[in-house]
Amino acid sequence: MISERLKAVILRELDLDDFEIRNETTADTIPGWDSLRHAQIIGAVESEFGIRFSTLEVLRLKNIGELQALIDRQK
Amino acid sequence: MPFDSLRYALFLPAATLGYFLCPPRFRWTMLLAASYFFYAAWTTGFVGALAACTVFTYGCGRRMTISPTENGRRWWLAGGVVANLGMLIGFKYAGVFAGWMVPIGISFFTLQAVGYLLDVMRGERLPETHLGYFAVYMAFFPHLVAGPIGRSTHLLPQFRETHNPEYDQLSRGVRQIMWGLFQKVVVADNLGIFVDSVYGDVRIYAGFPLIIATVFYSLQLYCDFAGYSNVALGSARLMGFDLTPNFDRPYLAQNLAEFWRRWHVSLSRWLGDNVHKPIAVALRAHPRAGLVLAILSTFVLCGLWHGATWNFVVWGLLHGVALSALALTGRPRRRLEKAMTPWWHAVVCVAATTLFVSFTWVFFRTESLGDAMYAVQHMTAIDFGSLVGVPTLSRATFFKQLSLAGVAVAAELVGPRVDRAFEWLGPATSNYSCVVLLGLCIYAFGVFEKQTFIYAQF
Repeated sequence: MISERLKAVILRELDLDDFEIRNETTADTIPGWDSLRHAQIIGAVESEFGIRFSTLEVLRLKNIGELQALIDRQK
Repeated sequence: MPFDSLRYALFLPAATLGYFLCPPRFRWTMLLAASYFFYAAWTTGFVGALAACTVFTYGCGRRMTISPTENGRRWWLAGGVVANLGMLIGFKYAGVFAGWMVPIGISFFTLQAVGYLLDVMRGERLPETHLGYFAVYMAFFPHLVAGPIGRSTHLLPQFRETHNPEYDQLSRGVRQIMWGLFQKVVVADNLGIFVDSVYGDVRIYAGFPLIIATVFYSLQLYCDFAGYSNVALGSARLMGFDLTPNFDRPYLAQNLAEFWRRWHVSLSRWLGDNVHKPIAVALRAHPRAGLVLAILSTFVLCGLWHGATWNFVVWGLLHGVALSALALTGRPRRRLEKAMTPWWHAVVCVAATTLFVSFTWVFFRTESLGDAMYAVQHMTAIDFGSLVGVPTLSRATFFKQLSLAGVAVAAELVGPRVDRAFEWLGPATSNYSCVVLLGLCIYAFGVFEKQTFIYAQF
């Protein structure tokens, strides 16, 4: 289940008013989330939750559900 | 054995027939034998390089999972990456200075090998346990010489599937091959005559001939490589395999980032996943500087991948700088987009992107930086008396080339509507009429002097 807080960071970084984000949603299906914005969004998520992922952890993420799980593990 | 040769026209049906006649569990041996035969027909001396790359990469992938520690996995990954890139650099760059021959397709199969190892490291797939399937994945003849670079997650599992001959797949494959040959032999090679006349001796031209040659080269390069890719995709489709499409109407992109999602898609994805993303993520503590560094590194590498010349470095840098500017101006651009009508915004953006990309092709096409700078400086010296101005070509030849350029542009614009027209006509009628029409066009307008595929040289 994607938290409202994670969803809010993603929408804010992408200048989106609203977009349905589920566990299985992948980055390339969210409008504006391309390779140019990827690192910036991950950085914003880390700042929001006060955590730091390793580069390999980020590269292994397959969808938003895995990002949420990674946040939950580190909090 | 080039795709536009009589030998390939005989080889492909034989390989397809052999594939389907073979019992499913032995088909990989048939494909492997056909692929190595195909490669040996280009260059017998370097079959060993392909085989060595295959066996070593397979071994590293297996070792990565057997290794009990993360460090061990990283060492095997590093070993595989260094060996493959070392082979590429050794043959393609050091070898050029030493005067060695470069194994054909090395730029593609080494990247594919490195991409496979990184896919395993990221956990996107388990390492392949069957050397035979892995060897076919590496050597599969439709994509061996100039791609598309196959993602292991997409292509490797297909060699374990049983494909049966289906009319729809066979007919669509033949149609795609014919369209690819039309793009190459009719459009690209005819436009290439004008382009070669001008860029072959660039310093005697100025103004319109340079502008027209640059526009023609943009279309020639696209039709040449898209033509190659269509023959590759069509050939694979005959046997039921689905390769990654390499082009998606790139000259209709509304910005440079979109252009790179539509142009040479398999290389763009490879560079995005394996170069840009890791650098940008590693440097995310410095968002702007990290992003710019990641983009510039990616595009300089992209330039160098095409060849070890300053022209390719400058070409890559131009794209890198423009894409960095695009990435750093996201919000103002979105405000501008909201202020303009959608149609007007689309037209302006497509025109600006196409103009920029065509301008950078000058560095891609010329032999030296001096020639490129000459072409750029003299392009604006317009003399209305020399609209065509290429003494070796007749006016009729020029208008034929202009018409073919129009066909290439029209095909871009019409695009997906063709498929809808084919559905309306029905599969049998549309396929027969399309294949016959394209065959007649190739016979009537094709250039049959030996013209190699541009990307096969990389």
